[in-house]
Amino acid sequence: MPHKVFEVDEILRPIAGYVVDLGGSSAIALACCCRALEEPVLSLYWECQRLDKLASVLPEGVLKRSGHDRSPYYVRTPGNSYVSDEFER
Amino acid sequence: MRLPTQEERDRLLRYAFWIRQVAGVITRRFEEFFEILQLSSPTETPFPNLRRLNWRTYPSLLRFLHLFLSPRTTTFSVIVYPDASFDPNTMERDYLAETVAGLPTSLRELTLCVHPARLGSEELKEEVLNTIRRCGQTLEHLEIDVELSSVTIHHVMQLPNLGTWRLSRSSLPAIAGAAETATYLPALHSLALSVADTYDWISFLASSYPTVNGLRSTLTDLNLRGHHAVNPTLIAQICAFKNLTRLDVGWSCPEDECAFALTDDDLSHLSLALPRLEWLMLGHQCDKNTCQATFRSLLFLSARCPKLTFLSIHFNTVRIARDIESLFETGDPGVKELRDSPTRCQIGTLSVSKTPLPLGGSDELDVVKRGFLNVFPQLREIARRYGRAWQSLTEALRK
Repeated sequence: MPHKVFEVDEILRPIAGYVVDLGGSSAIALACCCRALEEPVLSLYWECQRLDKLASVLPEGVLKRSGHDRSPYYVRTPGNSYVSDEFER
Repeated sequence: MRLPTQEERDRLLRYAFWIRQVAGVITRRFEEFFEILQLSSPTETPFPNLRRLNWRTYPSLLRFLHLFLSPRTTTFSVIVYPDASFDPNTMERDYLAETVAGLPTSLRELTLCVHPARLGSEELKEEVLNTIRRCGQTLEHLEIDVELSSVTIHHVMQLPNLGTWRLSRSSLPAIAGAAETATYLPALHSLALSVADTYDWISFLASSYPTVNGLRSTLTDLNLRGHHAVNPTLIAQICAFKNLTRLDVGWSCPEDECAFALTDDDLSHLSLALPRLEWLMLGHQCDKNTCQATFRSLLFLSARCPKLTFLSIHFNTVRIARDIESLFETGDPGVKELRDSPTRCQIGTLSVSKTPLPLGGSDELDVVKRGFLNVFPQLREIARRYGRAWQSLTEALRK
């Protein structure tokens, strides 16, 4: 049961904004550490992401990936823990 | 390559849901990805929260444009470049027109530049008109590089909140009749004209029609990049826009002659009429050195437009040292007052392009240096210069 402070959007969004400004890996780390923070952090993180990054969400084999960079992205799959390419490296 | 699973599509759409801005060059490497997006969300847009769409793309990719049509779009900017391998005749539908037709009423900025021009179909022009009608209350920025009909221009002139208007390929005669029936023109702060009849447009907008009264005081940025001759008549009309901070007439002289027809008096009049100027571009200087404007014009502009940060005008340098000496010795009270006044612009870099600098010796170099430092006290760099004399002057200015 998360603390009640995590239910206050006015608190969560500035924290998420600050961490997203720090960089993608910080944002992903924060999103992974707490379910209550996942939605606000990821929504801010994805707001202005390039199409390249969205394309990189698709796994190998779906796209030929000839032109898309393999920038770090955040993937959550049922049955698995939160995983990001960045952490796997 | 395989089709994505339902789980993979759901994940893709989950992230797409949050995206609010798509900007950049869209090339064919995205084709495959767009097809998957289309497959993942066949009936609804994958980007329901997209606000700003800024595409630089090719005609063959316009068939995917509808995927980015969101009910929350406020900025829609599409620039289409020619695609050598694409034949417009084979295009079954006008995808750009179809997408424009679906733009929401919340639209604030609309930019459409289509090259080659033949892709700017009649259907697209019709949809532009419909969009202007539909989004009339919210449109603030309009940049259409497609020839517009007089009816469309008449509607643009009625947009109450339009602040920036970039117009290409549309002629004034088409709206001459409409001007008399227009209730008012929008209070534009920025206007860019890339049309053949620039002078007619400017003289209409600077005229005493009651419909253009507002524009004369609100316009701060005027760009006439499509125009290729700066003459006193045009400048006299431009002087009606008293609050201009940026005037850009980017052009180059033809190879055989100098086309800069302004004199010191014309530039003096300009400096008096437009004291708020921060950026003045009256063409790239040529190497003919036959223009009538002299060093004196630089003094007029620097002393009367103290906010200038960029200046590019022709000035004759055949007798520059003597011109500067006469400036210091003249008894003309008007010039003397400006010369002795401490008010000057803060230009630190002056662009001279191909202007030659004929200097007789170190004495003349000192005179020219003293002249430039009097007019531009902060000057330390002569940019885009040709010739050793400018190099010597730059070094002298830095000492």
